[in-house]
Amino acid sequence: MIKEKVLKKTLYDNKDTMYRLALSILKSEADAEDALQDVFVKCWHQKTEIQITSDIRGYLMRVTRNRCLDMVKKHNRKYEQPGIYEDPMGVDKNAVEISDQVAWIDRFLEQLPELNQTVFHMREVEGISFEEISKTVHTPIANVRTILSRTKKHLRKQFNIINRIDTPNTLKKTEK
Amino acid sequence: MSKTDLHKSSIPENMDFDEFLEQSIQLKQKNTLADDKFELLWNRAKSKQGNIRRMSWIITVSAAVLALMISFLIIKTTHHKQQELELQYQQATAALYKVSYYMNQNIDKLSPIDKMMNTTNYFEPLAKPIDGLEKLERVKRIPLKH
Repeated sequence: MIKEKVLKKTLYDNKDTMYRLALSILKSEADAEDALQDVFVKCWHQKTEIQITSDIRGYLMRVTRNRCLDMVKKHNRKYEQPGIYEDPMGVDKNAVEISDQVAWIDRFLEQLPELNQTVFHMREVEGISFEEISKTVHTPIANVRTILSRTKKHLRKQFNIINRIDTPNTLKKTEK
Repeated sequence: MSKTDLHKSSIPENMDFDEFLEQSIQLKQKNTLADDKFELLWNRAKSKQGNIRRMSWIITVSAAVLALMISFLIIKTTHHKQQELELQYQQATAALYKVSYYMNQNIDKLSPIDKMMNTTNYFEPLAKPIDGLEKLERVKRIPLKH
């Protein structure tokens, strides 16, 4: 019984992190909840084997990610976020512009491979250490750093293109 | 200037991007799983696991019963076949005994058979081996191979 309470508390403490990770991969609240349901079932099934240590968050993140990837494979479709096409009626212009820009950033993020999205999410949204991310995505720390850097660079580049902020390369092309 | 710095310089610093990125991250951080939802998922996970365990138990028992039935059927069929073979063997042995008995008892009667064949077509019926059959020694049993 104590084990059950400890497990429930551990899951409760990490529920938001797991939910956000599932949401970032699946882009659907219902699917994210389904994924979490499966993770809970797995944890309940393995409750005698799970050791509540400092690495438990990494374990939960790993299980959640694997479950989400299985769901993506199973459904064989790309999850998309409809946020950018929301109807802006009834919202003030500034808010719409901010919402649009933010939606564009999300859109650019979606264009990247799942690994980039997950690394970006874990580091920027959850503030998880590189070491823990490295264990979760089974990639060396140096590679994780590179992936994060490239992801940010891609987002910035795409954002500049959409906002017509010319880079030196595009300026040269225009001059020619 | 290093290669990385050179690459960085090719992308202009845009303060708006950082602001929007920050907004995007903050929006993502607002996504949370409500407590009642968590309780629901947790309880479902427990009951689902219970159902799975119950189902697996039923399947295991069914499989065991089925395996037992199949084994029983195989044993019964094999045993029946063995009994049938033993009966056949005993009948064949008894028939052999009879032949052997007739031959031992009436071997002397075979000598005038040529004469009898020439003179008459009547053959004296052979004595039935009733008493002698029990006294005969049984031949060694040949082990059955399936």
